[in-house]
Amino acid sequence: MDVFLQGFSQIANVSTIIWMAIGSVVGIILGALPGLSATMGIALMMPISFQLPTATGIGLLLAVYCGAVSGASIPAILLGIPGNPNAIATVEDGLLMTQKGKAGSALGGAVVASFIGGIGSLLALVLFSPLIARLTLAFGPAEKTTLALVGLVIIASVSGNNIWKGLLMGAFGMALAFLGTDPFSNQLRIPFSKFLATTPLSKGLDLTSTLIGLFGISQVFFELRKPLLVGQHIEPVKIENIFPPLRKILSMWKIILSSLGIGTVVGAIPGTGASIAVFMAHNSAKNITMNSKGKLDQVGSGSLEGVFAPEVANNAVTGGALIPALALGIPGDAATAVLIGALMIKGVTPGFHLFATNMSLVYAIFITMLLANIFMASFQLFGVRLYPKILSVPQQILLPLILILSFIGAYAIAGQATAVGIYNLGIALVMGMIGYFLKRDGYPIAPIVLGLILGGMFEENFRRAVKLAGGDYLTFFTKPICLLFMALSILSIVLPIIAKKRGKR
Amino acid sequence: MTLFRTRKPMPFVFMMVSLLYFIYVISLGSSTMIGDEIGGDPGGRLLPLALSIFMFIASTVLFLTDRKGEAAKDERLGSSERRLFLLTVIVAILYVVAMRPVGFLLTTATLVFTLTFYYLQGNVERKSLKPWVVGILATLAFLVALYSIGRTITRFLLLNARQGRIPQWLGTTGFVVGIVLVVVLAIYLIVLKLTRARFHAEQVSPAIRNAFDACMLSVVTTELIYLVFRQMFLVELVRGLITW
Amino acid sequence: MKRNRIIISMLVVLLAAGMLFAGGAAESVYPDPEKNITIVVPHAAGGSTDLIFRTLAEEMKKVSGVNFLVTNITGAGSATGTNEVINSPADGYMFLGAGTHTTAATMQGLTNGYKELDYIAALNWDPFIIAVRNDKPWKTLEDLVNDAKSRPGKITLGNAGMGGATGVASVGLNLAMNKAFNVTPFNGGADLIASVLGGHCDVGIFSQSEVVANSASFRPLAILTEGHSSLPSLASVPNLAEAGYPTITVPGGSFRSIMVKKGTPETAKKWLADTAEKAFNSASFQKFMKDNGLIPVFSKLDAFAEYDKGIIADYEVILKEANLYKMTN
Repeated sequence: MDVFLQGFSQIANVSTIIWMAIGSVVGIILGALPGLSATMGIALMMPISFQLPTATGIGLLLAVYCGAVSGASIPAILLGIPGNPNAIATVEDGLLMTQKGKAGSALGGAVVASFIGGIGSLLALVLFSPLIARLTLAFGPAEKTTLALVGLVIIASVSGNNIWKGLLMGAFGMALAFLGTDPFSNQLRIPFSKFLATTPLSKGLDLTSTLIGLFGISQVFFELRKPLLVGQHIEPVKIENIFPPLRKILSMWKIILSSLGIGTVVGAIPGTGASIAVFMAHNSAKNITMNSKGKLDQVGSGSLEGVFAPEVANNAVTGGALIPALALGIPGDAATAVLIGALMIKGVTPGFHLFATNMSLVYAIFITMLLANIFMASFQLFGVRLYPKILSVPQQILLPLILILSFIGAYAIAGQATAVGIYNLGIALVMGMIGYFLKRDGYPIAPIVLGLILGGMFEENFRRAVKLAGGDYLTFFTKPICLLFMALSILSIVLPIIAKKRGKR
Repeated sequence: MTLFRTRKPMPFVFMMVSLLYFIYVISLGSSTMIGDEIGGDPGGRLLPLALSIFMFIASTVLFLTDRKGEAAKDERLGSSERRLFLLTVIVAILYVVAMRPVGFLLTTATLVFTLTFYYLQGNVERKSLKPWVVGILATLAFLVALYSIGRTITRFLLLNARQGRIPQWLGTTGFVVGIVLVVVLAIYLIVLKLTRARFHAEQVSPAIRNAFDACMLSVVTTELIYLVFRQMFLVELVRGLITW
Repeated sequence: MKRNRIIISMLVVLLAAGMLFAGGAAESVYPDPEKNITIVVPHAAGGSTDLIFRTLAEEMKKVSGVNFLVTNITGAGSATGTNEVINSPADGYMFLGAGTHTTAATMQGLTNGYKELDYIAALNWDPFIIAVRNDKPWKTLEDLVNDAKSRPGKITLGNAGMGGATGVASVGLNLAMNKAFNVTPFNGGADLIASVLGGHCDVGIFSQSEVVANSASFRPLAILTEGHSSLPSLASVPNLAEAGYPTITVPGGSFRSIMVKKGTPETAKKWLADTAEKAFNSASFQKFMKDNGLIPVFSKLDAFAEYDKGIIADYEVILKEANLYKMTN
């Protein structure tokens, strides 16, 4: 209880509340704007969180995260364009509801669903992450090596349409992570080391700048490929009956529970993410409504059920993805990967040690997650008539703003060191260009991020494990946990290929 | 380049990248842990080598299997999109290069103004050069004026609070940022109100209206970023030409 | 067109007024209230070095009102973080969480280290303790060493990073024991603790405060200092001589101090040293040191430089003996 109060006191101040409220609104707006993802929102806010106390900064990022996931439903319902991949499965029923004149209850229902998903998965996070953190004592260097491998392989196999592309991107991210100095010998591992030894590049690529480049700047270039949108003209739709009747919500308990479970579990599997969870939840809800003997409206017919299922699931992913992130330091999806980066910048290394020695911070993170959900729900409900107006901000104004915010974010992370800041600008720009060309040719970006974040961890633990075993590489095959993880990695490569072959027949 | 008629260039790029990476790692030489008398450290070269080989295999597979589909043919950009894209790339590069000598304020305002202006125009054409020049001058003048006023207030409060002529709390970061924000925004809004109707009148040409909108947007964006990052979070933004 | 002119002249007046106001002479006082002061901790977050400097930074912030930021820059023992400070401007806005790890890294030729740093303040010593998980079979250091000698290279001895002081201590010990152990570096104290607790590494060299924090699951075998621990719970832990190894000399603990880049203005150095002294003497920092068994040895500026000469002399002997001395002048 004492520790809990300590955690509470870390965030019981006005500045935390204000920053989280700002984060929530920014998140919802970013989520609602097509093309701007939750990951990008977190990357853009990272430099600000860096300047705040740890708990407040993390609270800000969580608020952005929850807001962006939930805000994506707004354009999905009103225009049939998902704000980001989290709302892909919401489009079908959401748009139909708008066309039937029930936009209000679709938007309101989406908020309620998001809130249920967020809170439900938070419970799972609170219950399971300390347990998993205990288990991680069994994770030595060898186990950590294979765990990092699993995360990389899974994300490589699920993102994008071609597994080779995913694997190539994961390897590319790892290669980028190896730039800089060898962690064990201090040897420089950068090309042209004669010239670069005295520059900030000798420490390797700055993580924040790289992320901002890959997610923020590349998106600006990408949007320029199409004629710029002059703001969406939304037919003035009636927005009424926002709050769905309680009885209706209760009648959907099966859908809510299944979506909650799917979202949390899929979120907690390293490397996967919301875009898989929402489709699974949508399918499962379809089965439930079909077997409901007419008590529930059919999913796919413009029903509240069809909005609820994916919206519960995508916010359930937020809590689920935090479980491995906090307990193991392995991100559940690209957005939590960025979040781990932010934690590490603040001097907090996720894993057993965090739970053993800094439980008050863990509690503070749990409470901010609760607050983030409350803010997300209340701001989105109160502003339900306002947010559609966001969609009328023309891209001509939006894109320069995103570009400059990306630049300033990369620069500001250097703090007082202007020389480092300028290098960061360069890194962000180059990564933005690389990210643009990769996106254009259909290469997934998420594996690069995981490669970047897990690459260092992978190498260090790999070398440590081999060294502990006295140079014996077979050590990875003598430990049951390692064998399990390696089997998982192989399965996650093989299964999609088999599924694809079957699909072709 | 007949090779690329049916194949995509990206896998080929990665084949080259992994090949260069391989050569580089080989030339690097291996280094082992400090104090590794007993042995057993695989060394710093093993994983990069394995990675480069894996990347080469993966990109070769992609090169052989991932051919251009039918849909890829209409991927060429329209001429105005291509120009805007090139403009953005060039302006962004110039921004990074010019930041240090010119300073944060001037480069940022120029970047935001230029991009907003040409995006609103929808194309990069020679005839819009004149409104661009006039607009950029107005933007920079207005911004420097706002900045100077904010700077004066900040310096006055900080110096006097430290020397004890006014109460200490008047010199705290939060208070100073608040006051500067209120004053600067008030001036900005007054100027906006006085001028907006004039530039949004019917007879004004679209280019001039766009220049006005871009000017107002870039001034307020730059000043707000400055206030948040420099004044509130004490990030050292390059001063460059504006030395006060 | 009349309104056009009015608007332009209005802007001109604004601009002129602004420049006039701002033209006054800039006053340069250290520390500039518009700047943060960054503390570079060259070890991972969560370890004992990190904790000490974070606590100190909090106190320095309280006594001075200036914003102190801690950043962890890890790698190559402590060399990467040290190089960061050396490569930054000597303006007093960045200082290094220095100590014996800096001495060790410099002598191993990983960084120019203390040769390019100036002395601000010496803080405290944290004694080293050799410990194993309490369900392991070794009851004394002698048990452990005999077992290790009977099967060389099979028992792993972990340290918190090879460049740092625990790294030197572990290599020194191992040489004295005829290389019976497999010495492996971990990524900071936190990582080492988890690995020893999890049974992935058999023996560890810890800072005393790290043993205290995990006293329920660790069995301390020996303290590396000459005397005994000042903490009641660890006072009975034998030192190396009592454990049967009177001839071994290894670094007995880690020393923490504050250093800045050479060439930093005297006023800045003095301000930093005075602020550190106030923070050091604050009630909460004193309590923190007492709770963690840290031995206070405060001195500042020239007095500290004199003090460090002794440490450097001791280390030179130890590192040369351990064949780690690679410094080129």
